[in-house]
Amino acid sequence: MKRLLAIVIAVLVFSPIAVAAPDHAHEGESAALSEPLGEATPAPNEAVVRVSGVVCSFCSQGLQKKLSKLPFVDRSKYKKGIHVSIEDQLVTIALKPDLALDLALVYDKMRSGGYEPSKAWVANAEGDIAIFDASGAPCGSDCS
Amino acid sequence: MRLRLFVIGICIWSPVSALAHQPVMDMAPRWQDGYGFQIRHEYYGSASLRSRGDRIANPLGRERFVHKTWLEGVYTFDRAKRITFKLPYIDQMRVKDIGGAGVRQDESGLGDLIIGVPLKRYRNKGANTSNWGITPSIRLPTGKSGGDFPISDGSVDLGLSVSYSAEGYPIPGLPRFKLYQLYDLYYWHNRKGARGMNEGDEVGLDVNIGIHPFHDDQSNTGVFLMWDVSVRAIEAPNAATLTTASGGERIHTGPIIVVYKNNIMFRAEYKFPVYQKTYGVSNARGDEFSVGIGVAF
Repeated sequence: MKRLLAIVIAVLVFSPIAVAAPDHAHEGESAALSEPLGEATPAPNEAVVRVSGVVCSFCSQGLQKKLSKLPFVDRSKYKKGIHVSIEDQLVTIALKPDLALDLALVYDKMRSGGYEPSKAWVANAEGDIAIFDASGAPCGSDCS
Repeated sequence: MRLRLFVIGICIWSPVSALAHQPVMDMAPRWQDGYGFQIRHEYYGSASLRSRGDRIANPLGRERFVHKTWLEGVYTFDRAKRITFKLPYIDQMRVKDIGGAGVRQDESGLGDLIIGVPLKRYRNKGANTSNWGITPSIRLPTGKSGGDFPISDGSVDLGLSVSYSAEGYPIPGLPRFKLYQLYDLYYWHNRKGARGMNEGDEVGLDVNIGIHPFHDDQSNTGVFLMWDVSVRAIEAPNAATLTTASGGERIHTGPIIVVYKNNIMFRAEYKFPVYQKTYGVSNARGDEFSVGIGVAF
């Protein structure tokens, strides 16, 4: 019993060291809404938000659940207005053209969904793109 | 020696097998006010009789087979605080040596209710997510403890687990190679219950390591393939204990497949013993099968 307990503890102690995750962002193939190196190009009347840690779709349903209820989300597109790409950690939100996006509310819903938004790209009806940082403040294309 | 080699093998394998995923009762639902249910059926048993590490003759045909159907639920206050319940329905049979004769005994009914409070600390960074968790639990004696083959020993038991799980892309050169892992170390303090029964304390370690080879964003459908290692060490029950409890040490291992679509997840496991040591003469645990389906809202 003692020997096995010691082995079990040893396994647990050593394993997390072995599994420490590198902090790199995934730089895989671009999805339809994104480009390599993490820049997104939303279509007109859409917002794309980079959300750290969205790698499990079963776990990220909370994002869709929380975001799809927002009044400015166009639920006729995607799945109730939301598309989650776990390959790129990007969440696309279809927007109603006649209602203003409340990005602070989007960020708040994402946090209550269990994740942290890190950057957002918002395209207006003309396709002009504005970029926002993790706090929701406007920033240039080089913002983190 | 075989046990030592096996555990060393796990340690060596772990460094290249980073980052994991978990079923409905752990990683999902991780959103505020989320909840979920899961029904899971597990089956194990054997007609193999063992004395310590050796298989021995079984002239009386002693055997033990157990079916457990679990109803499990979770409510997430926020991702760091949850509450879970697990309630089994147990259908068990055994052939026991009573006075030099093999006597068949059967029993079925609700088992003991387990309530847990998982407390988690998440870390989301880029394409990786991980969490540490600590879960105090209590097992309430809702199962019947009467008769010759009781479902429960009638005690209030206390448990504590420490877990780590992670999922993501650990290898920059392999952007499609998403790995998943879970470690859960737990301890159950089994207190003395009805009729003087005491099943003995239990310590266990579960390791799940796997890959996420397929996912489709459009249909939100995917598959996980994993390998499970379960290590258990259970103190010998006292002489008054009439339940299926039997002390010993064991390691089971085997494959897991998880298939999900939207908010529904199906999970199937098969585990076989690679190390078994009983305290005294007892039936082996045997192969283990488990299938479950869960839904999160």
